[in-house]
Amino acid sequence: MTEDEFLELVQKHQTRIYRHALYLLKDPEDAKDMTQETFMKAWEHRSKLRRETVHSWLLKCVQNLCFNQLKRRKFQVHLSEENGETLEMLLHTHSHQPNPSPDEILAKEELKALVHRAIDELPPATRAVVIMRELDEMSFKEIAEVLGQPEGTVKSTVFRARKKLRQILSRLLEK
Amino acid sequence: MKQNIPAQAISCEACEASMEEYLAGELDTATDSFMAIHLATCEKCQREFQLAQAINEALTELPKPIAPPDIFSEVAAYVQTYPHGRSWVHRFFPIPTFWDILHSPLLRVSVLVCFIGIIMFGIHRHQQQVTIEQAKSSWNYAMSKMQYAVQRTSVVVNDRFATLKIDDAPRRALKPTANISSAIHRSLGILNHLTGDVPDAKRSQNLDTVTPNNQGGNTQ
Repeated sequence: MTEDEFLELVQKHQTRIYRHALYLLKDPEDAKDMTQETFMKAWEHRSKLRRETVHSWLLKCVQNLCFNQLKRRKFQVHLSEENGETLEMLLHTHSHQPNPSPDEILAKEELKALVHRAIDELPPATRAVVIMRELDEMSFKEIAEVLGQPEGTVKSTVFRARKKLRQILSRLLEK
Repeated sequence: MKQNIPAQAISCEACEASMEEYLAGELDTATDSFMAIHLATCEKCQREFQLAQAINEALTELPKPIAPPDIFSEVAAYVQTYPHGRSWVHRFFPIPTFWDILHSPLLRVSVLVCFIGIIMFGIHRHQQQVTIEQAKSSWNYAMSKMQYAVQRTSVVVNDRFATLKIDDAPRRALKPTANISSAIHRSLGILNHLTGDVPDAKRSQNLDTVTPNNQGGNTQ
């Protein structure tokens, strides 16, 4: 793989990798570092990379790096004030859905914020699966390849995660 | 297709347990229709179902942040700095090494050949030095042994001549001559051994046989 080919690959995958890291770590600076580290590792192992599986490889790599980072800083799953700000920033900067009425906007934004908060309350491994499925729109087969698990296991993990989300959301709505 | 619900009327617990599969269309036709009937009649499960639908919708509309531009620029800079990847040395010293500067494979091979040549020459010189040192010590050892043998020979000759009387010469001529000649022969034997590969134990045994006491024993 030449330099140009590799940089083309970085250009293509950087957003998805960064997004994955950001949702796992909930810190833009850390997410940026982990994304860079992932591509640096990819450059060092470029001889082993294949075009068909490069996305899975990158996701697996960034996921491992993020989990290590979480372990290092003994990350608290519950949202802090700072993370709330990050969430607000994300919601206001990157949402671009057509909103018919102010009430609907408010309700939708509120629900999205709650769902986001509920995602953050999931355990990191489950959160990674939800991110892959919902945000990256990956198929169960692709997720299974990344995680090295059978497709059925991934499916049940996703359904369990959604159920858990529903429980957390019900709890949050009750407050 | 998942079929874990009995074909009778399903309970609220079973309905809740299979809600995600129902939403994803993963249930078989029979269970799917039972779920639909239950959801149409049960208000509590209907609320849960609406919440599940809202969650699914919200999940698809989650913010999708874009990667900051400096990720690409920093990765590009890294790739240009370490075109051959980062070795373990770079982990401790994050600076480009001499090896990184050598881009051409021919240049790398020639540097490697020169390096191996220098190492081989050094080994050869060292071996020469070691051989010279060994020869020197062997020579010194041989010289000291020879000196010792000559000293012993002179001692034995002086002893034998001191006890020899002129009157007794005709009578005793044979024995001292034999003794002196045997002592000289032994000494010469030692000298011969010094040049040959005789083990130390044997050599010392030979030297012991030349002692004055043994000589005296031979004369009696």
